[in-house]
Amino acid sequence: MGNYKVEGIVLRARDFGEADRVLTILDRRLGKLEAVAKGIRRPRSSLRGACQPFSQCVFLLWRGRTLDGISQAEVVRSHARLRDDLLLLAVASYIVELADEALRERDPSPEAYELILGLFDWLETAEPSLETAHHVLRTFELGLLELSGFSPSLEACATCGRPEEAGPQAGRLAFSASAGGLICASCRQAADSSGLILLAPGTVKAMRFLSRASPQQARALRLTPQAAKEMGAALRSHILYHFDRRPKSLDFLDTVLGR
Amino acid sequence: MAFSHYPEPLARLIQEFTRLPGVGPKTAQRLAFFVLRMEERDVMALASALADAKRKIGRCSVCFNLADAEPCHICRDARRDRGVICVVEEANDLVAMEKTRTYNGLYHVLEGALSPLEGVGPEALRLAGLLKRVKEGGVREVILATNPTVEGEATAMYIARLLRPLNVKTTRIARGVPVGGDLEYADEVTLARALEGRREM
Ligand SMILES: [Zn+2]
Ligand SMILES: [Zn+2]
Repeated sequence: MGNYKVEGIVLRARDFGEADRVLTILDRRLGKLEAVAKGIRRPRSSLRGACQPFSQCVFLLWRGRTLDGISQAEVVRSHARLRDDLLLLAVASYIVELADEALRERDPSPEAYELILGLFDWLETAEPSLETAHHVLRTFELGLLELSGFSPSLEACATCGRPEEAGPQAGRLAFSASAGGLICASCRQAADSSGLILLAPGTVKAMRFLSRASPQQARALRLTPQAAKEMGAALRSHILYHFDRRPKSLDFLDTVLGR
Repeated sequence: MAFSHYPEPLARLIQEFTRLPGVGPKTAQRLAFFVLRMEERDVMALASALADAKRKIGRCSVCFNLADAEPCHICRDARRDRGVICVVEEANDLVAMEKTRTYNGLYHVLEGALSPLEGVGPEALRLAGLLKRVKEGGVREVILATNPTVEGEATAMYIARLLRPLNVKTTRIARGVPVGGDLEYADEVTLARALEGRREM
């Protein structure tokens, strides 16, 4: 009844009507939800700073008939740096867009909350570099895919289920977005081999690790340029194949990453 | 047809009004009935003003301001400082800037702002024209006056990066506490920015 409190990350903010904005908030307990910030585009609105994308805030919400509204907001961490640097902005935009796409409304996902918050902290505290950007992006993609059930098959062949070895003496493994992950030598022959991406065993091991790692654990992993590159190609094709539409932020991200 | 219980010309007028921003069916009906009660010559004046505005207003080919002449009255004005270009997102931002009566340079209207989340990339903005103007020489300073929103900041950062190799002084308008605002209600980010942009008195 009446008001309730949420602590969440602002995923996005879109203009609504003359002076309002609708925020998509990822709350730790409730999951993804939408709320309207009335009058926020007026210069005197006290909600303005708190309702910026990527900021972590405590919101006091009132219940509306169709949409709940924000009566008070207080910034916990503003993550201002993510909006003040083109590279960080591009990475953070991609993160919130994919999270918004993959998470269902009012479906609690504390893991997604912790993942995004941890990655934002990582982005803010690290020296901005292309290496960090790729490391964070891969950690996010693997983490989000894992917790939303779209994870590629990395332990076994996606087609026949035969375990795939990624030991030091193993050869390169093949990844197929249409098959849904790794694909073994015999299944490869039956399938169309045009979209195959070859991965070194070390790349597959790093992917397995990052799928289940916390941002802190992921950060401690040393990711070789080769592994980052191979993983990036495999995940890009996997995401484009399994998501309904191409992420809007992808072109901007590629521009900033210099691809 | 939603308004079919009205005579056809009236139904059509109501339908057309609903195309305007912020006008729902109720307001559209009210506006249409008001038009019916107006003097015929006032209605004609309104109709021709609508058609004229649409037909005669275009974009200045230099600065992309809305204009009824080519180039626009600002680009043509010999008293203005041609060495300074103020970059704004939309033509109405230019009007807001003009109202301050403190700026005497030229403008460049981007017709939008970068929005990674909406898929609005650099190619959607009037950036080539801006680069061309700077490369042609004679420009001492480019003032980035995009909005202090995520999109506006991204746009400013992007343009600053594009201009870096051209060796032109590039500045960003200061951000801070609005006049008539209350420090107590200013958010942390705004206050921090205001502090950064402080000046000696
Ligand atoms: Zn197989
Ligand atoms: Zn002009």
